Amino acid sequence: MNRNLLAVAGIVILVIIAGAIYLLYGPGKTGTQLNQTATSTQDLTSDQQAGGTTSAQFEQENFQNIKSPHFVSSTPLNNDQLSSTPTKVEINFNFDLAEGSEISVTLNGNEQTAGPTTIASDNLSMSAPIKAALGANYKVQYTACWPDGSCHDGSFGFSVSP
Amino acid sequence: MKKPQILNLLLLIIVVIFISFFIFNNFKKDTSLAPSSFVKTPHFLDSTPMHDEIYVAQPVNITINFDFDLATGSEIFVVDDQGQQAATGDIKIEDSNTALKKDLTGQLSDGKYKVMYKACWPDGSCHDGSFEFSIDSKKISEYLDMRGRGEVTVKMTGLKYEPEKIIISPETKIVWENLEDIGHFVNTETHPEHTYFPSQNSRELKLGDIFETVFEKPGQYNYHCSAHVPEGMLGAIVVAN
Repeated sequence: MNRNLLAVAGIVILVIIAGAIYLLYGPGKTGTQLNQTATSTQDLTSDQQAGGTTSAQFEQENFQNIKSPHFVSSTPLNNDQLSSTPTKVEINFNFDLAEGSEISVTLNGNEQTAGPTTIASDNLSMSAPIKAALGANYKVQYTACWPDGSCHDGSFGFSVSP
Repeated sequence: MKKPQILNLLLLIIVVIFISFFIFNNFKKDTSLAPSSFVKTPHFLDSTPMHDEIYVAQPVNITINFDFDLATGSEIFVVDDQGQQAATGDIKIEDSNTALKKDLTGQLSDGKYKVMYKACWPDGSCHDGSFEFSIDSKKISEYLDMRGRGEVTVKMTGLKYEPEKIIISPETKIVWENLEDIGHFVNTETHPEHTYFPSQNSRELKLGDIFETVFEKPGQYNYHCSAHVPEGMLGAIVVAN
């Protein structure tokens, strides 16, 4: 009799513990806050193998266009697919750029700018020359700085067919 | 130990375990899921009004800035502390699809307001965010009353706007004039997006240059010099009848 009672009590305790563990750590518990923290779009894979490939190997990358304040447009546009490499990347804004503004263009993580960033005389655009490559997914990252010295980053990308 | 004692002990253990897990589980819920008044969506940069900012008069709109393209389905809701709707009109997406804007109803009273927004992206996904602001008209006494004039001049000198805080009537034209040999700006909130009232955005004003804007809609318009925000070159206009 004693052994039966002890066995039943033991089973009850195990069931309660298992239930509590399920409630605490079971499915659904970790998902309750995901709506607030999830990112909305797919991650960039900018450093994936892409540049200098043959047409059979080349796959155009899909870039996010992260815009700094006052971004208006760019040449090339985000996700443009070009048949030849442009001589420069130019980004237009609707407010005065200041010193410190800079464009960086990379291909497989390697810098592809061929010279320093130039700010136009009206302070509304900046550009940087780039090196040519075929079968390449170029990632453009830029820093736009304002008259008080504060700066903000943006990024986009474009591709050149093999 | 006799049988009844063993049973009592087991019962006690079961009750203690059950209560412990119940309390722990609820404590965990309280800490992890507590609603926060300031919830940022992905790509959120800032807003006008800012979270917890206190205005002396109602803002003319709610403007929320992002660094990514907003899509259809994005929305802003504003409620007062009684749960009454305080926003009106259509949702607007401006500034290269990065600014979400909605007008506020006229005659909002003092109190706390909660802004809840939904930011939707080109792939159709949406995320919710929220923040709060307050209206407290008691500090309007700090503002220089210049109502009843068709035109008001604000000077830019000594890294300040002179006068800094003014009340004007609707339809008043304000003329800013730079009186010093340092470049200045007149830019609407926030810095550096300048999206709240875009008509109040100048380029650089050199010595002797002027910039002017007509203010039609009652409400509060905060602004700044984009070259001298760290120096505190800030101004505020309240448009009131």
